[in-house]
Amino acid sequence: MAVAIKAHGFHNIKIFNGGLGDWKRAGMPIESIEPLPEYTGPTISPPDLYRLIRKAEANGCRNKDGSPMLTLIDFRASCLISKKIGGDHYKIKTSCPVIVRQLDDFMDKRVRLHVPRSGTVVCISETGKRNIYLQRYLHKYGFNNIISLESGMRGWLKNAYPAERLKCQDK
Amino acid sequence: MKRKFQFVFVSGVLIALFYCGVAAAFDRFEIVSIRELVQLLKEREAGNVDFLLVNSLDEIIFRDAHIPGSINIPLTRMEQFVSRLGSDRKKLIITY
Repeated sequence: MAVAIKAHGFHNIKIFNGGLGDWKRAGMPIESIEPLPEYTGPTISPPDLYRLIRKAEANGCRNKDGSPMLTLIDFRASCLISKKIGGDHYKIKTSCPVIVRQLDDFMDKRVRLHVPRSGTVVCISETGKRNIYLQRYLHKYGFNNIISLESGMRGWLKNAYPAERLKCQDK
Repeated sequence: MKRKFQFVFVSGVLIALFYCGVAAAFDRFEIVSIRELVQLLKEREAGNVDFLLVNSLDEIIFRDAHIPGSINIPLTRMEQFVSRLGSDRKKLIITY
């Protein structure tokens, strides 16, 4: 973030490295505008997700009644940021539906309407750390089928499961 | 002797150029401790210092919990919210 701010012409920049985590652990007060519900959603490991994807794809990603069997939500940092910080951008290779959005996009009801309320929905962030926030946020709106991919996309790639390169489009 | 001096001189120039190049490639920012941040927030409240404390996480996460006195500029939507930094390019900005 400091680098991004500097790129806009600001030069007097410092970093509080510990972040909110250290602040909380030090017993310091925090402020909340819209607290998320306390909720610990289920998780899935990369090997289990791989098996689930294969099973779902064998059934056209649909249950017998036509309802969605498996949907992925890829809400990693934007392609542009990934590209700027030197990262490459891959996505899980699957024929099952993938919703590609930023976390904050889900504040829009029209975006939430595209999230199935039935079947398994697996959320994927870069390292898995932000998954809980999407789970808690969607849980507020009655979603109980959101599962967090452990270790996020990095865990998937580390296990060398099927992935394909995502072409970044400059904005 | 002359050759040795030339070798040392050229090596020194190359090392200096390399260091400058590498240093320029890496942005270095001063780190603020919790104690320093607490003191700065107190000083700001007393009107003795002015700075921006910027939370770079998603808005959903910021709204759940943040350090009192901080503003939110999600890194994923930097361009949309950069105006929150104001126009004073010399103003102290602390990010977390």
